[in-house]
Amino acid sequence: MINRFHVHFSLLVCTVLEIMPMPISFGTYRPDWLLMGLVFWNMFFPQNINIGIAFFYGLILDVLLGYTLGMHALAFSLIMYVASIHHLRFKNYSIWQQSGILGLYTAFFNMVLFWLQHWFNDAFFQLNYFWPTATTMFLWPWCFWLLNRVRKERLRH
Amino acid sequence: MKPIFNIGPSIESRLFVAVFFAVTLLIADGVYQFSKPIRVTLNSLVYPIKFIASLPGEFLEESSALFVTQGDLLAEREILISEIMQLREKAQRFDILEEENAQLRSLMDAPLAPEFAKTIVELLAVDNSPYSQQVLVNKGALDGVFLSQPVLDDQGIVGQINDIAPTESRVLLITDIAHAIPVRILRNNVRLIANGSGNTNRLNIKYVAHSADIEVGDLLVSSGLGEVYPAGYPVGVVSDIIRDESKPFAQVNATPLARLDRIRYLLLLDTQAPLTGQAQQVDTQ
Repeated sequence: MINRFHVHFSLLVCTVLEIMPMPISFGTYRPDWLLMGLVFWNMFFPQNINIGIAFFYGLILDVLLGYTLGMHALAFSLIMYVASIHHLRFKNYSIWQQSGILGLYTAFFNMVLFWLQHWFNDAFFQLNYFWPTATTMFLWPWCFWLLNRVRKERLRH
Repeated sequence: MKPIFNIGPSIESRLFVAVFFAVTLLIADGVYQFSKPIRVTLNSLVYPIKFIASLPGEFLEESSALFVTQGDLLAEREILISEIMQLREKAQRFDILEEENAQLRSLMDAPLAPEFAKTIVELLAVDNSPYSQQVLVNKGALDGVFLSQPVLDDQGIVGQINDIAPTESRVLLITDIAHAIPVRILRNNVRLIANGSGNTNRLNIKYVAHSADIEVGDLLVSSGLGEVYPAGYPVGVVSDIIRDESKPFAQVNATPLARLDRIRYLLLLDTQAPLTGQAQQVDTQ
């Protein structure tokens, strides 16, 4: 069974990591923490953690980062749709395969964000926009291990 | 336990609803800016998250402030004293020039440049996703900060306030891709528009005719058009010009004078309430 407190607490930690102040040169490499958290919980509780929750956290992120409302909400919803469809397959992959698939998800996520920014704010394409994909892929095994411990901690009690 | 059958609406219908709401929000906010008046409320709702996120940085800053040696402090004091002496010497000349300028302007019947009340703010956080270059500062609606208030540092214009929470506010930097500032060249008063480039060290100057009189090293100051920034504050220096005749306009870049990558303290100009009585008279004329 799902413990909502653990799920939302870890998602809040992810949100905090997303907006944590960092030196200006590291900002480009900031991994998509919230995306990792959402994909992880969706993999184990696809009934409870899916598009609605993703939309909600996306909206919070929009307010926190001062974006046009709905930008992250839309991007997260789309990713969660793809992730929910494939959650069973994703769960059975090895951790390295998962990290590869997650790379595709984050690339798609950053792509959607770029398109939206392009339409609303005339952003020009820079390869920099895809650094989060690399760092997210790199951090996924550790993030998975940590979140899995949170999940199992729950099961034991 | 995992249910065998899905509960609730199918994943496709959930997606449809989410996308529908997101697109509605995007259009309402991106095109019609409906969230402008409620942003303060929204920001105060998520303030706890922001507060938690700012804790590690503050802790580091305070603990590093604890371990400053006396020697460092003395050296810093030395530098500050010499800086103050130099500035005071400049101020002596400036007072005389200002008076003279006011007299000359009154002879010509030109309006005086008003002086503004200034507030010093401190940097709280840097938000630099590639799409938005913004910083958070520690004064907000409760301190009388207002939307589009100009923000400077000791070298030049930094940006404007674009989002206000009760105790903090967000500054849109002049290098943000969504920002543009009307400028003129100090040397010959040619008027231009400097757009943000998304890099902290570059401004793109658009729509410069190939024949325009502009040179590398020209100082750009705010022109006062657009009614956000007061006239005459330094913005940047022209860094390179590419005159490719096959393109409709010359490609001109400038380097901002404000040190946007190492912001610590900033000045807010209160342009809504000029200081001197003289200036107010001019305003009512």
